[in-house]
Amino acid sequence: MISQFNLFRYVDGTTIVHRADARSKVVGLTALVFAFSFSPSWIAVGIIWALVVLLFVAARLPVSVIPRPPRLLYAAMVIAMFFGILSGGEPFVSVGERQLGIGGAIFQIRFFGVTLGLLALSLLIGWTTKAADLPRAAEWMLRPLRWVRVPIDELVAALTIAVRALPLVADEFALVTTLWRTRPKREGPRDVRHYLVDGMDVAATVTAASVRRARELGEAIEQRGSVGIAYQQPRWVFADAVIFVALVSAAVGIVLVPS
Amino acid sequence: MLLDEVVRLEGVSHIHAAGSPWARPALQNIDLEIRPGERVLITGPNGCGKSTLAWILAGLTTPTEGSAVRSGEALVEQAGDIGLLVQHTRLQLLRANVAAEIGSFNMSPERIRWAIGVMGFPLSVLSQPIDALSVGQQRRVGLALLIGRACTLTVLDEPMAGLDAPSRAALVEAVEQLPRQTTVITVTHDLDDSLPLGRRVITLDEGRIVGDRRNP
Repeated sequence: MISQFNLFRYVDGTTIVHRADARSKVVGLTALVFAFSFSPSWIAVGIIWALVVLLFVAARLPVSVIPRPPRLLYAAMVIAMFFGILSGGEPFVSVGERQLGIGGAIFQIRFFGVTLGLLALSLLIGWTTKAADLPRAAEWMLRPLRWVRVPIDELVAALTIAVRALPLVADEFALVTTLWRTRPKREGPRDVRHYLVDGMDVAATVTAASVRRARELGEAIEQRGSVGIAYQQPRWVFADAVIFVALVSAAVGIVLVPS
Repeated sequence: MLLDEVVRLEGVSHIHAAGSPWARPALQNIDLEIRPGERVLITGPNGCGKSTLAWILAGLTTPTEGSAVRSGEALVEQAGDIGLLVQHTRLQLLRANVAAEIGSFNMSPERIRWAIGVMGFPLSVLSQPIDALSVGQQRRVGLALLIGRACTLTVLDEPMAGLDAPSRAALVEAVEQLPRQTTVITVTHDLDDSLPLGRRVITLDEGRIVGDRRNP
């Protein structure tokens, strides 16, 4: 399911989005996330999706990279909408003789709009940035925190493991769910409890495999002495200025434009 | 001979992530016939398409072109009836302990005891958590499942990888315990270690069959 999102799978290219360094993309995306937490408005939804389309076109990515979300995601959205409707709130609409508050449902739609937009932006960054550059960008961004003795090297090492392991974990998850088909089908009627037990077993197996893989990666990083490495940051180029201005302007717009 | 149980691959080609920027051809125009009871080794260098072929033979991957059938039925329709042992066996053993794992395969207690015994385990292994077992032991539990299930087609993907000499010997012995009519297809990059597992050796290179010979 996770692997269907094509996380951190670089698509080769020489466009302005590809040429921009990971630092400008990561800082810009962080600014957008902060801006949305200050102003979760419909304006924010519009700006984020406009940015997604703009960067997608500028990066000349093929339409085939767009993931087909798994059915489970749709199911989760439907359930969330159901609870949103239950929560009521203004405005009210008339359904027969009853008044139905749809405020919660509208909030839910806005929430989906922004979270899916931010997810799309994150995927875009993943498709146009080599995964190996992301820890370097994170180290640059977190560097000021060294002054307050935050263990940046360890944080960056953990991030490196996470970035490298995530696609592998996604593949392992896909592998486990595929291997599930080799098992005999449970006899008799299935109820929710069976699905829960099966789901927990799959999750436990993937977790055990992930922990093992993370440990191996951690040991490999430690043996190479890479924790605390002095990253060589490339020079800023014109593409950085363009991407940085586009993302940060969008963030400022989200905060300043009245909703 | 059960001719209708012959595994037939005709014009099989496969491209991973077909249609996406990450598309990667794995197999090209594979024609293959494997008779019931044959013990086949599929070998070749890394990235030659061995594991993709193993997954097609195990019914877990539908080839992007061509047909893969047994008994006139597509292999993907028979995935639940084909035995498979993958290199990272931990990903196949989904239940918390050995008893729960083997128990989910609908085997009689006698059959379970027999399969566990064939693999050289004491009965006490049944109460062991899966994660308390070594990689080699996990693979032997996987093999015990294959033996117990008695599938007529079994695919072993890199079964020797990461095993020490005694575990490899135990694995060869376990495969020999499978009934004569069981077709065993072993995918391996290390032919020397796996030679006892098959008499027919099929060599792949860049997604094509470049050799099909009998092991003397």
